[in-house]
Amino acid sequence: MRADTLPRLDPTVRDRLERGYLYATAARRRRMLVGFGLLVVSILLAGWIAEVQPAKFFANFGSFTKYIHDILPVLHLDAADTGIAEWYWGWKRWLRLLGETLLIAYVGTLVGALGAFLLSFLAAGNLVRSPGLRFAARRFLEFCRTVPEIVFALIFVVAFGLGPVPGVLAIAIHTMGALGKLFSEVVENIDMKPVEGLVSTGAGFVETVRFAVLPQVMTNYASYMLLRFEVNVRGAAIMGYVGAGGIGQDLLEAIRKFYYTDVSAILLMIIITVVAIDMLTETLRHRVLGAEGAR
Amino acid sequence: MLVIEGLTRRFGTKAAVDDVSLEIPAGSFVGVIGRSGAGKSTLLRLINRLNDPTAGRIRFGDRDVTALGGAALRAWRADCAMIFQQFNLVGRLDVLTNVLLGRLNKVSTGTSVLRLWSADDRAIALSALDSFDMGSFAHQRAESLSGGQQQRVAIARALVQEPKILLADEPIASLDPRNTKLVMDALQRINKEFGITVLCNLHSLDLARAYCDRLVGMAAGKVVFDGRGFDLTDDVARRLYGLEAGDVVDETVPTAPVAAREKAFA
Amino acid sequence: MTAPVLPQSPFSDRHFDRAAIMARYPGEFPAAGFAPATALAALVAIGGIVASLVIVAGVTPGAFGLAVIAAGQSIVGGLGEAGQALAAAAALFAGDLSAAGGALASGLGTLITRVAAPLGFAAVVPFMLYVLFVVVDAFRASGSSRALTLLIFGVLVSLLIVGLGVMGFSIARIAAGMSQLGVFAKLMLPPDWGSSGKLALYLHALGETLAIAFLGTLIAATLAFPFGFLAARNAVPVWLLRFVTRRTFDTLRGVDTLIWALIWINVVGLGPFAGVLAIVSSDFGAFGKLFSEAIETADRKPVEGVLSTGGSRLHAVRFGILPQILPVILSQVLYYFESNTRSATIIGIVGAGGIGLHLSESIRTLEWQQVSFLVLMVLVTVAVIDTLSQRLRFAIIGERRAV
Repeated sequence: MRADTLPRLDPTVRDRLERGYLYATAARRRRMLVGFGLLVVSILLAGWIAEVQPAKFFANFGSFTKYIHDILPVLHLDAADTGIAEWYWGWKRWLRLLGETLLIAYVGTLVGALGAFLLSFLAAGNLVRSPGLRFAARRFLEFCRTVPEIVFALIFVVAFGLGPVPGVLAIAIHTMGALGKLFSEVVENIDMKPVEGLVSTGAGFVETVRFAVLPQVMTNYASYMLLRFEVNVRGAAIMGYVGAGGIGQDLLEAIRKFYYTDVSAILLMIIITVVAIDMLTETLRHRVLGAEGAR
Repeated sequence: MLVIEGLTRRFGTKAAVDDVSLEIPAGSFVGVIGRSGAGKSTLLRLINRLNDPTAGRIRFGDRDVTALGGAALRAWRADCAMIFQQFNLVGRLDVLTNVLLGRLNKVSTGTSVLRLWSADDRAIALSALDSFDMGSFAHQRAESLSGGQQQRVAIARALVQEPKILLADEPIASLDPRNTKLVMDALQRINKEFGITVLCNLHSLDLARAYCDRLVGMAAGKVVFDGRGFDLTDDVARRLYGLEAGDVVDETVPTAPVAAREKAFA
Repeated sequence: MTAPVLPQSPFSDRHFDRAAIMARYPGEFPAAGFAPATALAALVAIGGIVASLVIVAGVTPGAFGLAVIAAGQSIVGGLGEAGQALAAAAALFAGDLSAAGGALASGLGTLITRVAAPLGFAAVVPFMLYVLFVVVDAFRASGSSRALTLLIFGVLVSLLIVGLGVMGFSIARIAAGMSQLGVFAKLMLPPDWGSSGKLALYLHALGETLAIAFLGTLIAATLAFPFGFLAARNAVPVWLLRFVTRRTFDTLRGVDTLIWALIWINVVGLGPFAGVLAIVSSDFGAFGKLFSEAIETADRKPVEGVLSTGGSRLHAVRFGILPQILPVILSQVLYYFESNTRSATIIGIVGAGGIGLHLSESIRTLEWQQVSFLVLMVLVTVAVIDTLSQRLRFAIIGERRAV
């Protein structure tokens, strides 16, 4: 079919329709333009404040590739075993520190999740009638989650001394804030009919939470907790910068003191651990979410 | 005896229940009728204290229900079982646990949250299920049952509360005719066999006439009729529903003849 | 039908035949005592917990008993001291009001630190363990045995005790740290910025932090956008390419922003630019993964519609997939901007620009009033950005929640 066989509109009608369309979309286009302009201005402003120097970046990019090249070990195929042994000369100490990192993440996640579990029911608008209690619980959780964990760790190192103790506490507090918010959102989205059914039988707050709320939120809680554990492993790996335990201390030292191959050795260990934990928690999460067995 | 005096509940400026006064003697089967939005549900929820009244008083024996709080309020709710239009079971718990939830007020929190029910409680729950032919479903998840089955589980839960009064908020509104009859018969049996007062919201005038000793008609939050079923003239029904009385009679709902009902409990 | 006495319990002896019910449902009424599997699991769980206490955490029954006795003595002593102080306060109350106030405060302080706090701690630990058990038990299908619950609980708690023991937790250390924290908290009030010169410095650093977060998020998202397609099954059907792209994302994500900051400092020197690059590096991986997931979950029907009109593969992506994923991506970018504002506050600790430098400096020099001022600044900024990004998300997408 040739295009000119399509029926043509009367030009005056066409003009009117076109004007109408343009008029209708003009406001949106204007908003888009203003938004785009604002974006460009903020980019320029931010670039100026953050001292972005593309020239320097490209001029020094060679040193980035050189750095990557430097930290990689020199391995020869014919002497690979001795090469690896040399590369991972400190593997005993690093493995222990890696284990400590995992422990920090585990204890921090468990303790933080327990706190978040208890507070989330207080922060949920559909369970707690007292606005004062809800407000207090929410602000407290917000404080715990907004202050970065490493800041908590810095303060706790002064109070509790060096070592993993401040690291665990910092991660636990931050986890409590982050999970508490997610948990309370889950609680706010539940079906309220079972809750009402339970209240009507004379059940108290604890029983209502246990039997009407918990069965509905359980799987989501477990899934969020596993996700958080993965995040916390990464968080625990940097706690060492401020002296709060884990493998971060050695990595920092290696980077600062230019022990090049150590950097790659430790980084590789961290990356493998994080990726492995990522895969593990992902499988566990799918199983938890998939197997919603009767409770 | 349940005594309601000048009970009022406002949502914003609108009064859902407006200055209602009623006396409900122990052991009676009272039907509350009226079109949706007439305040029937709110009235029942006020009695169970799921909502708090704006004004007025509810008394039960020498208990001032409107003044209760804390443990005393929970004890009142246990005495005043409620069943809902949407059953309000916990879908992800099994049937037996759902029924056992009716005993929560009678066991300590520390053990009940661990689901450590005594053999007595389990026997009671199973006996309640058994009496509604639901014993074989004890281990199924509540959400896997049909509406009629769920409502029977809900009645079993109400029964194990060993209540003095049973509130039923449109218990049959989401059920088919056969289950409607099963549920209404169950309520009648609870009333006649154990002398438990039943206060039941109903949409259908025919059902109300067939099952209830006494009807209370509500419109716009006020009581506009209070009497026996046969006192309810077409004129009153028209006022209640704001349309021809013939329209509100639901032809599909079976009206149970008295003889047949007696047989069902033999 | 005889007229019953009103009302009656449906489960009084008259109506309820317990024996008949138990006979009809024998499976519901196991013989008294534990099932063998449950008993074994309980034994293993308790054994594991005790072993981890004794072997790894080094808590012997004797030492534990001594510690409990010491704590009890301290509590009793604290009670006595508090009682004396309060009695003194009562005696002084008639005459010297300010002295009475002082005595009252010291009495209450003793009561809190030496009586209430240890008792609270002793109550919190068993309570938390109970909550943990209830939560683990909630996963059990009702009707099944508690063996698995007990085992999982035993493993979780044993690992917890091992962790606490290995990492050097002790009640004395926690107590000392807590009282230190109390002292710091008192010193933090009221928040104060020191001098006006410092205030200007702080405000500039805050601007730097915001600029780092903004640019880092934007650049990372822009770079990750095309690569997201490479990792999406429905956009690029080449298996090897997808695998390589995905593992690259994982690797980049696996290295923390702080580590990236350290690496980039070596390249472009100290300053906020290194911070921007650090955020770009780690978020590139995160965005790539999220974008590719968004692309993969996109509805296939619009793509088929475009292809059916004779459009190319590129057309299908542009008109079939892009309109679907753009809102999702925008929402994610806004969410990340907010969370990066928080990350950007910390990369200053290693010298990559922003407010973190001042924060860590003032903590090291124990200038607590400035610490609380800086934390307050961060809190307010994040709250403002949170509100703004929620509004923006709502305006652009018409929904409030992150996808």
